[in-house]
Amino acid sequence: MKKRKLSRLSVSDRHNLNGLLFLLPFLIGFLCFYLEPIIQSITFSFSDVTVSLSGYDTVPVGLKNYKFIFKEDAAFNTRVMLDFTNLLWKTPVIIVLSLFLAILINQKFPGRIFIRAVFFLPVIFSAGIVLQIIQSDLVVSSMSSGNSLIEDGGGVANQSMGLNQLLLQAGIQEKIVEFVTKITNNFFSLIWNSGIQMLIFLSGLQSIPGSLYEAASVEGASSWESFCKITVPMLVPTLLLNTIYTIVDSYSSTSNSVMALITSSINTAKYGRATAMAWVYFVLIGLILGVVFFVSTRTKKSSRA
Amino acid sequence: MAKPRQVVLSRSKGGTALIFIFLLLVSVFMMMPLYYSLIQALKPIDEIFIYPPRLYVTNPTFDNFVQVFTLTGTLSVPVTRYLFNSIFVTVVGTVAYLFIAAMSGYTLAKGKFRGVGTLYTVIVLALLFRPEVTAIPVYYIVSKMGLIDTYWALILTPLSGTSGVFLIRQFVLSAVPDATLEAARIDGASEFKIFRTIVIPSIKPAIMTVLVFTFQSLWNSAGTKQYIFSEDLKELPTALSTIAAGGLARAGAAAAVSVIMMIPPIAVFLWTQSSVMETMSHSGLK
Repeated sequence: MKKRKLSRLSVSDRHNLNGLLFLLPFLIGFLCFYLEPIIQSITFSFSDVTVSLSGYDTVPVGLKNYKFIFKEDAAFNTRVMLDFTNLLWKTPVIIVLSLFLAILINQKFPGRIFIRAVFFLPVIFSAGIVLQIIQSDLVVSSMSSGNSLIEDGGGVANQSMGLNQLLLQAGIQEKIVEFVTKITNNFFSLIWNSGIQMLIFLSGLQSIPGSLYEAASVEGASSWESFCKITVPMLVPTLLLNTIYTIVDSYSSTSNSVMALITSSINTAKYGRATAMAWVYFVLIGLILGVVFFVSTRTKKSSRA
Repeated sequence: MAKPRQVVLSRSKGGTALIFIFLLLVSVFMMMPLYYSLIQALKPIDEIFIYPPRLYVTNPTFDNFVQVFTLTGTLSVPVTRYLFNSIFVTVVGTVAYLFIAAMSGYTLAKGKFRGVGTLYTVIVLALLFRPEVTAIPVYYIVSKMGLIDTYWALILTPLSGTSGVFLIRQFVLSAVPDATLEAARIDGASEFKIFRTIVIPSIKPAIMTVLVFTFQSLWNSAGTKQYIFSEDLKELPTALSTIAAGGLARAGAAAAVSVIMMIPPIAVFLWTQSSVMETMSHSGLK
């Protein structure tokens, strides 16, 4: 019955219907638990919100929350700036590092599943309760402050002081030296934050058809050539995905001071102000994402031409 | 012709050894917390408090693990109930989300109808919203639907997650050629058959990746604890964090808890990786 009905529709109508059917289960959930609350939070940001057990009351206050953020709350502005500079240098470093690691662990060597699992461990550790327990362990916390596993620690900083001097004496520009030492100082926190990106790159590498490399090697391409001409172009969508993921993921990092400020406002029942902060922050991040998208579509077009 | 080939081969052998050594060194650092929790969990109580901490156990014991189960035994619900809740919610939620995310990711990548682009943009922008910020409105929506204190709240709310959809959409874009889809359509395959026999196999690595993430977040019941009040619907993490909150006296039990929580995600990860590699060796050279 249904089939006959479908065949009476035009081809494009059938595509629309099928597409809608495929999207429907996700769309319902997305509208209920995602879009609707986001839209509600716009109203919240222009109101004073009081939450009670039976529901919440909103009293519209116009731009009060936004005025407070920009004019009175110095902490918010400085934290946003700090977070932005962190994001600007951390994102490319994490991307390159995770791509490098993904290519390494995609090689064939004995025990590669084990090594992959090891590199995936941070993702498991960083999840709620495990991290909570590990961090609450006094012994581990004294250890990790020495090893800078979770945050930057003294030991590594001392090492890179030496590196700092060495590079400066070698006549390398101060700015570059600063950048390099920043990375070595944060090496472990960076590796710990690139687990998911690495896994995404890994699945990107795995979905490149092997026939492409075979064809390239038959044509006599070197491994560097096939990396540049096959791996990199095939990874462009994954690269975009990972850049966005890294930017989004930076919110959930414990070192994100802006999110800490927002959650502390929520916890002290200043919900209106918290949503206003969130909106300012998200618009700014959205602008960055816009730039990322713009650049990626431009490079895609130019690589095709 | 033969000469360059030999050069490539010998370099790749030396390179592999170097890579292996490098990876081994880094992995020692990655393993530290896992190794340390494992060692702590196996230490008897007098060894736990030795300062500076030892990185080995002299008298390994399973007392801490036994303690976890006897402690939770004093709660009003047996431990097996928490365990069942966790496994049930995680398995059902993961399977449902994979299905939903794969279908919508495929449509968002290859769908040709109006509004697909706009929808995609909205989904990407929605990724930017941390659950903390929308937690209060979501809570009232869940309660208006009458889902508070039901399994539905634990299973349905995570289904709206956008990151898996986004990830799969990106992979379909690069791994499924339009030409293959066209050919299948011309042969008269239904859209669902195309999805099942062409799309799913070619994005298997991505699906496995989403599986790992979804399992991980559901297993930790991240962001859904607030919907449950009755004890017999609570999940393992809630029960275990009560134990971990016991302070110094329960340091050993807490270490055992963290080991228990880590094992299933690691096992799932190993399983997905080995199955991805299997499919690669079977279908990689099509």
